[in-house]
Amino acid sequence: MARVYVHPLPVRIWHWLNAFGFVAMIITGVQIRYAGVIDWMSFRTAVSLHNWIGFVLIANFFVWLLFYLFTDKIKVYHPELSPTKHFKASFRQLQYYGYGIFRGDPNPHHVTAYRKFNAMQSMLYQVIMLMLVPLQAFTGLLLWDVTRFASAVQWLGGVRVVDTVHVLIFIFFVAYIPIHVYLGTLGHTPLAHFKEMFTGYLDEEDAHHAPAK
Amino acid sequence: MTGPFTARRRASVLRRGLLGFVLSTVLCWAGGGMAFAATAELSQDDKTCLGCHEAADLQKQLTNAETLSLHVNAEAFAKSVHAAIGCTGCHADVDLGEHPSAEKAIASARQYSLAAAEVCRSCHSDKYELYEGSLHAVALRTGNEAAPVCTDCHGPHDVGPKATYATVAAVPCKNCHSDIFDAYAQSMHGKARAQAEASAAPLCSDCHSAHEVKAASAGEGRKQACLNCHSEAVATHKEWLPNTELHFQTVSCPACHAPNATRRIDLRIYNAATSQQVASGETGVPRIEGRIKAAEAAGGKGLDPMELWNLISVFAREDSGAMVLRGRLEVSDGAEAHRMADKAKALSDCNTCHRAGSEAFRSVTISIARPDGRPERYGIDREVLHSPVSIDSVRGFYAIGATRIKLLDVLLLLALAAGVAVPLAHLTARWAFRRYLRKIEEEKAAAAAATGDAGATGNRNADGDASA
Repeated sequence: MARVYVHPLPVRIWHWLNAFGFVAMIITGVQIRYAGVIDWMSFRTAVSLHNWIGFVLIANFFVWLLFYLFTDKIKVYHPELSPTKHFKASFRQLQYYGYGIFRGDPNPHHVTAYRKFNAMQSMLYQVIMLMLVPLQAFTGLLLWDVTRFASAVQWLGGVRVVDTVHVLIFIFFVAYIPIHVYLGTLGHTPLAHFKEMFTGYLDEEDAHHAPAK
Repeated sequence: MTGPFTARRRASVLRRGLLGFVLSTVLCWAGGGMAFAATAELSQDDKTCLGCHEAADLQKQLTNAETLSLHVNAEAFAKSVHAAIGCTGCHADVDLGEHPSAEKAIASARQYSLAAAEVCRSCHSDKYELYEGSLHAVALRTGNEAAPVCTDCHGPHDVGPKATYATVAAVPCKNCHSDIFDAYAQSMHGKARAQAEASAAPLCSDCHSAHEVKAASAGEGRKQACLNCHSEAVATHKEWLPNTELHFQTVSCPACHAPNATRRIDLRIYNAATSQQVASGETGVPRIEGRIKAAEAAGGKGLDPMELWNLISVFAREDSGAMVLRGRLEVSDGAEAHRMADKAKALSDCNTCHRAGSEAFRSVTISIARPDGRPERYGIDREVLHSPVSIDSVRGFYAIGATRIKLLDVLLLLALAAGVAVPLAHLTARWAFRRYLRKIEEEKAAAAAATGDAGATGNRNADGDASA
């Protein structure tokens, strides 16, 4: 059975830039928030790096957005409009990770080039890419220059409100990223999905209901 | 009144005094209060007045039992800018026909100074108008006996040109504000000025102005006065200070440039609709102020986070419209704010403020503007900077690291724990079930072999989450 080409080059570039960017943002963000407790670098260096990487990630977001807006690959993000179907599929996926995987059951999700996300990924990635990342970028931009965006900051309720939203999303990503990496090791070999994100091709063992081992 | 005075001299003074009055009126009109040459020779009339008033012991008992010295230093007066208008220029009310009059009652020395200020006003109306808008004049109007009037700063008879008061030795402000002046004298400004009066280093009035002295800590403080000389300051700070404008808005210049001063956070109440600082006396404000005072009196710590939230987000909103708190990092003591150091010694380490428990954030006040613009500060529990309810009540103030909400720190730790624990737990479970999994696979393989189905190859599992 042939390999499936699921990650075109722009998506792979976006993904890895995003991956390292997010880790860098978390490290510098922790240093900024916990100066005096953590001393990985100076506060000023952390702020400077955080700002620069933030702008790179904003530009990178548009790489992702434009790619999907102007190609038919956007189908991978089309939501399942039937809530019953969606939640049944999500439950099956959750059941697989929580139970089936320990007894060698096959993954309930069948991957194709236009349906690469399972039900849980489909919902989560829409929330992340269409809500959390834009909101994090927007609040970050406001905090980068509070006086330049004073009216927007005030409209949103004040600098403390904006900062709290920024920190809450940061907290989400602190939990999300290690879990994301771990789930990446659940391919037919621990590194299969990592290779997939470099080559773009999903191995056939991972594409077609392969039983867990 | 005591002292020699003869009928002949009285007549002479009367005649020449009238001439002097006319002359002074003309000079006032022509010069508009401009400074006159300080070397003017005294007129014969003035010398006549001084014939008595030069006596060191000439004095008058006032109604309130104070003693008013009537001594005039002739030499000082001769050098003063008012020598040209002579004694009667200001003392036109003196009826020389009756002078000296023991019966002329003066209530107090203060009352006499206030009356004298009205005389100054008749020529120096422009300066007097500036004075009337000043902190000093507000203090005067509200009955402050120490509030200065013209003669307190300029002296009654030795009024010099403007430059007279612009020296470290003679600046009159230090007579009342000696603690501030001492701090100034030790500052880089004071030292530079003492070394060379001609230097660009400022003296009191250069920053506070001479007559329209305003509340120094109102609004953004004396920032503009600093920028008048240090016009490049914004640009040079931008080279290294993130969010420079925000720092310039919320941190007073001395907070960093007087490095040995103690600092605090002052939360100021603003009307959300008008963006104006709330002032005592405005509608609803006395009730707000009453609650702040009551909380301070009750526990000593002042409003706690919930009480502040109730006050700002519930009580004030219902009573006086939406209000917002804006914080300002400032020097705790007005005198210390003048102890400016060389810029090489100014605080530039971000960690000084941007960390939990930093010195400035241990002392927090809440303030309402007085009618004169000065903030009336009340102590407040510093936990108001760290509480979840402060997201609403202190929404307009946040300093990275220093005012972070502790609940978010707990959430971060939980998130980190979840991010590590969930994969570890899942990995451990997979390791624990590995033999069971192998057994199931063997059974499947055996079943497949039995049915002749060789398709079950036992590929490892499934679709992970590493793609988006």
